[in-house]
Amino acid sequence: MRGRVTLFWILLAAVVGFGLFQVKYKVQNLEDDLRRLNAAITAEQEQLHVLSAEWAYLNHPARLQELSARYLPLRPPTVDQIGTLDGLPHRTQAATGGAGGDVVGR
Amino acid sequence: MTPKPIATAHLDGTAKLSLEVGRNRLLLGGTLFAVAFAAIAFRLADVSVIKTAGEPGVAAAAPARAFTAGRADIVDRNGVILATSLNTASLYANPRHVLDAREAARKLSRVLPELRAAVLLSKLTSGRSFVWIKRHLTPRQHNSVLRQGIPGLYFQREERRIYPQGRLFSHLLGFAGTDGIGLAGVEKKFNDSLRAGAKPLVLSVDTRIQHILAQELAAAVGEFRAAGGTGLVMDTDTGEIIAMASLPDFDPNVPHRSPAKALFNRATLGVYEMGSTFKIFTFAMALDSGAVRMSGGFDASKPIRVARFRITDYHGKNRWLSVPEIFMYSSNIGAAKMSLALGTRGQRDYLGRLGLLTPASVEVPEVGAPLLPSPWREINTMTIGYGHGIAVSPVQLIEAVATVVNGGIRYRATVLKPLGDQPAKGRRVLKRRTSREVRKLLRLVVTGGTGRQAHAPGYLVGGKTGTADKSGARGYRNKALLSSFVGVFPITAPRYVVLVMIDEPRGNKRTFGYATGGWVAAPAVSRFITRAGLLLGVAPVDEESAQVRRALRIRIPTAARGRRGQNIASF
Repeated sequence: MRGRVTLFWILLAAVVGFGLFQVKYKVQNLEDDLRRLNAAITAEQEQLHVLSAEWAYLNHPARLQELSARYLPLRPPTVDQIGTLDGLPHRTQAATGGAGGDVVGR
Repeated sequence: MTPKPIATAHLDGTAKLSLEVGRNRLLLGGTLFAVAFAAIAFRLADVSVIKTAGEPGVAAAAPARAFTAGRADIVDRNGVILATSLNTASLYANPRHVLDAREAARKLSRVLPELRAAVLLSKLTSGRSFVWIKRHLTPRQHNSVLRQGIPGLYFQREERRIYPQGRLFSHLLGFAGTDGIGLAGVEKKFNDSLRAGAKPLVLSVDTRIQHILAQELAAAVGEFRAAGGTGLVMDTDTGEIIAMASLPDFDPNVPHRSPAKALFNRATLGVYEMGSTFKIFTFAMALDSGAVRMSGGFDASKPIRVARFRITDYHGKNRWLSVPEIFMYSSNIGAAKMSLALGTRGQRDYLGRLGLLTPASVEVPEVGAPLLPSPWREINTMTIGYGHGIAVSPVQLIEAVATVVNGGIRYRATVLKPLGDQPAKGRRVLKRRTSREVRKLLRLVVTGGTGRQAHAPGYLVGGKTGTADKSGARGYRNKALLSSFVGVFPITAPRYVVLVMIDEPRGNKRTFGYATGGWVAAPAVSRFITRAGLLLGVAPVDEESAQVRRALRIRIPTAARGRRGQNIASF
């Protein structure tokens, strides 16, 4: 009887020990993964940082102005192109024009 | 019942006693151990089963280290990057590890053409163990050096400050040195927080508006072959500076390549005798104090002689002028007399409240202190009336003009975008009525006075020209002018003030040789407002509408002193 009990405890200890090492190695692997991912995130952030600097550089207003003048048929809007909601004629009423109201296409 | 053994030893006396003692001790020890084991068992159960505090059920993952590249970014009001720090590779060599110096020098000078092979060779054969080849390589250069595979060359990661907008914000931003310490501008003023913080510093400027202002300023400086110029745009209701330009400028990426005088910020550090734009304050002060009324006027038929000075008019009419006319034709005689009516003390008080006697509080280290007359005599009071004998910085001027036109509340000039939605704190220094009257006068200058070229259709520009003779080593030099225009729009409910100042412009054929503020700076302001008005969110209006005409109606008394005139101008 006593021998069986001892065997039981020894087996239990072995199983638990095995399980513990399994968990330990798993955690170690996960931590390695995490470290790698964190490093990748940092590298990615640095890339984003460089790209955002380049984006700002490429969007320099002088450069955009030149590109727009060369490739687009667009020209700066003039005051004549801006109207107000009040300036729109009602179904029957004539257009009143003038100041006030919201700006369209602001 | 078992029979009593005969041989039973009757223990008694000392033997029995010692046995008793032994049993008692054993019992005591056993009890102590039992208690100790029970405690350990209890604690074991407590720690492993009941409590969860000791070891968390789920392991907390080490968070990703937030990426920081040294100094914090500086961005404009819309989040456009104005300054950022990048990690770059710097190339150095250990000449003792270089196998073939001649070959290495040849290869290097091929991929980095700005380095001369002879210089490289002397560096690589120097026998030292460390020589810089080139700091801050671009990623492309980095890659091409790596591809050469030259032994003995190494890279050092370094931080570099980059200004993607180039020259656009040179004076405002300033620059930081190679060791990452701000040496000028905002970079210097906020050096500590930029070094510490990961949060970007948000400025009040708008890159698009800055670009338009800088371009129009450069066009005016170029057209009139001027020595320099400065431009400012300010929000009248918050004091925020939307754009700030100063020419000549420099590239903050390579500040040492520019001459020292290009580093000078004319907008904040330079102090100038502003000339007639100061009449805005003369009129505001005189009207606010009640010393002068809109219906009044002064005799401007003869120059004023005081001591060795002679005050004359540039656009002289040689007659009695009403208050609006004095402003419209920019009469020095009228402004001088108006200042006398207010008095020296009143003038000094008002100028102080408008912030013209103390350095501006704008957040750059380069702030010029105004030059004030000492002692402040009557003659100074008169000349200050038309902007001579006192020198202030352009940023002081624009702050004071914003105060006059926004209803009389002074907001301090700032280059920082305010956090949150809390309204800017201001202090009332002029009456609302005064502000309204001066606005009408400013409009008059653009519709019928010296500033007609500042007209920008739809935006109701009002403003004042200024043409000052620059004072040199020997008194005033007649040919060196400081021509400026300060514009306000829309004048019925001002949103923005624009100042353009051109230093030593030379008249040309188009301007018939004139180099005054009305000819030089006013057109630049007009072009700026025409281009930037919509971006600034100002809705164009019909300038001829009855509502606008009513708001800007002004009564100009006729020549006869004291008699109310009939002609009502409503431009």
